[in-house]
Amino acid sequence: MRFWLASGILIAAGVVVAAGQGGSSRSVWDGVYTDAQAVRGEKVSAEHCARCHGPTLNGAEAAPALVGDLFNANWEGVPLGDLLERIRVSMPQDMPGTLSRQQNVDVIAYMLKLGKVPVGTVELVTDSAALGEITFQGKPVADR
Amino acid sequence: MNRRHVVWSTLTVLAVAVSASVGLFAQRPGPTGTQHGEWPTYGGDLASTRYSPLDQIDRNNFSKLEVAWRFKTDSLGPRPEYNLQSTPLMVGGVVYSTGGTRRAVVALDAATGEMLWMHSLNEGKRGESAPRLLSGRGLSYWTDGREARIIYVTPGYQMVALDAKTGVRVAGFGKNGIVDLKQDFDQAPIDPVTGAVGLHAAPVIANDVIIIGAAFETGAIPKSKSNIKGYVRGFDVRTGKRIWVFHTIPRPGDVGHDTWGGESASYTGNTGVWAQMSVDEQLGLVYLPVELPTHDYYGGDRAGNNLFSESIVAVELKTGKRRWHYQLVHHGMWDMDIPCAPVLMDITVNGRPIKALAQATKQAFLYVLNRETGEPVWPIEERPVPKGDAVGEWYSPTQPFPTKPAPYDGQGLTIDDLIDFTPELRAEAVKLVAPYRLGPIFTPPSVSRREGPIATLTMGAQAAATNWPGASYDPETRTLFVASQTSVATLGLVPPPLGVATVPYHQGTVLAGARTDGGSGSNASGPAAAAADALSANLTVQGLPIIKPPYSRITAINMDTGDFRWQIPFGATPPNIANHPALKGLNLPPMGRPGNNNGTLVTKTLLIAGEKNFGPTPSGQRGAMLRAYDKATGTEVAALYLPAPQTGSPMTYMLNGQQHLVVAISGGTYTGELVAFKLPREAMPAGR
Repeated sequence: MRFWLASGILIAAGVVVAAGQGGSSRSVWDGVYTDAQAVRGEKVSAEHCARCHGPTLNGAEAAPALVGDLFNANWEGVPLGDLLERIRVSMPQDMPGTLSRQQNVDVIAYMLKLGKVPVGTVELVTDSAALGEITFQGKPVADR
Repeated sequence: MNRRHVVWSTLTVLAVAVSASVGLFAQRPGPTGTQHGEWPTYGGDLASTRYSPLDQIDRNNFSKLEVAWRFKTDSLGPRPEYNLQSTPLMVGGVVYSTGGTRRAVVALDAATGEMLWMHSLNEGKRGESAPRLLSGRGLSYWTDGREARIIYVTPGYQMVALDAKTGVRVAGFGKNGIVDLKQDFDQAPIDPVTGAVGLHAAPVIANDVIIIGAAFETGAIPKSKSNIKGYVRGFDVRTGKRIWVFHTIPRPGDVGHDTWGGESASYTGNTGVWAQMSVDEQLGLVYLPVELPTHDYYGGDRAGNNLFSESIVAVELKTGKRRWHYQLVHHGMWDMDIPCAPVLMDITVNGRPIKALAQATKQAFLYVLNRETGEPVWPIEERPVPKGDAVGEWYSPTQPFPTKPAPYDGQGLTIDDLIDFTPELRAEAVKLVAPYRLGPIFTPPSVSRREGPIATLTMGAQAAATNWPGASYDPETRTLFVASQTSVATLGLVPPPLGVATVPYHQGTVLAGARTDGGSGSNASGPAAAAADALSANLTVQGLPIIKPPYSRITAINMDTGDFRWQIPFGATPPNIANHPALKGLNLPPMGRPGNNNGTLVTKTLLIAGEKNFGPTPSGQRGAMLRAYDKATGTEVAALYLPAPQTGSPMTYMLNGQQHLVVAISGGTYTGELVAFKLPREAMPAGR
């Protein structure tokens, strides 16, 4: 009886610890966009982002890369809702605020695809609060 | 004594008393440098040394600095700004800066940061369609001892003169305080709204002359071989009247016109000075660092050396007449615009005193010239360079190579430059670059082919090494300091999408397409770009940079000998590299953080520079570090937490016995802010 009680406590403790590490909010590595969304985003990017950020968003003279180590360092731990806000308010730099929320989140999906983040089955939504629950991480936790 | 004498004496006494009682906004002609604890011009002084002799902040108290004041630029325009690049000025107890998405000008109390006045010009569509947006790099201050003015250039390319005390436009300057820089430009009429010319540099003012350059859209994807010409102009600081113009593209009959094949001098444009300039008031010369002509990567429509593109030109301050020029790159195609002010310095080389200048560049060469004559201080050799295969292109058979100092960052790309932490990583890198053209500096861009080469890979081009923040210089030890980043540019040429341009090539590759897709997906498709996994334009090896570290560095160069005093990696090794599984167990050197080619400030004892991107901080809080180094040895002696990266070069001033350190920060979700630091009273050194 004591053995089962002890095991039960240990298992429960393990679950608590695991939940604490994983957190209740998700990261971009938890399947947060779809390929179809990223394909839409690629079209938006080609028309509105590539001229400054480069054809595969690798950066150019006047604008930084939107994928890769520097981008990851600059956005590590930031909720996607904040990334959407930043794009919504200030981009494209020569015509800020001219893209719809849908176009903006689709571009984010494309950026995730370029960053080799695995797809999921549900699209990124346009709601800032919901997006706020997804944290940007350059690499999945397991790889750290 | 007679009554008139008494009246005049009394009036004189009164006048002196009134002007002496003015605390804020105190003005006097000169000094033009930082000797008295002010920062009167963008580069600290007209030589652009970014040097101040202040020594209150030192290695022992740097990490004790506390925030004296902060100023956000959010509401200075219709939306917040995320890239604040200003270096503010401080004169007479007032800080002046540009800021915000409308490029407003603010005057702040230098003790508290309280806003004293604000000026902005709503340029409507003219401002919105400008080629260089946001708040730019700064402004200029002028005084003749009686009145003082702030001069700056708006995004829509208008020069504005403001009363430095009130922020009100000066009525007698131009039209109501404004000079329309799109006019009186010695060329075909420019549409005031859509004419794509502007400026983001701070003007330079010397000897009552304002010198103004020009900036354009980035030049990798021009619509045609023609563009507006970026002539340089001098204006009278009192009236705004144009005094002179220097034609950076010579006209028929001018010296240098024969370096432009066919009619290309008539239709080619750009060739402006978007960088900061330096002035030697005693010699009466202003030094112009000129950019490329139209098209950064293809010159088939402009055969010849193309003077005065990519040249340093010394022109007379009062007349704009060319005294000498020195071309750094002939017929450029690597986007090696001269990006920053040449630093003026008096050095002694082999016992000979020389009035010199030193020009830092994207190609990681420091060109050191006699600034009276334009002659190289150490030999610069013309050496043969490779040719390319772009149709119709003209390739210069040689390029200038400084023999001293040694290049201070990466140039070209060879197998030897590739990652080599382990033989396996090196082998992967070699495989990755196999379809590309490698080679030494000045290997031309490649016409992109699926069977190879996909492009030319090269360091020291486009956005590499040094950019607009430039270098700094310590006149006490005659040492130049320059931060640089090591980055690889992918220089491929592809036909532009149909209907987008009339030039034969744009920058791009067959994998990724041209930089502008025109929205039709005509050139490159999503699948191709995504499928280009192993051959990705984002060249990394298991997520690691394809080149060996360091990824950024700061170099200190002894300007009397041309030798390096020291060179250090700039910034902490990124955690994704330090913790990479493929590097487990290896003894890794400090590597610097990628992208740190930022502005530096040199003081009596310290070299100060902040990081340009977010990264790890000692507290774990999201931010970037402002680092202080022993300027003699390059040893990092202290670092201060910033909530966002340094995006404008730092400056320093003394006020009420306290040294202040000010830096513009922004990035990510953090909107533009000027932060001023000073020591808490208990940390101030005795007697300083």
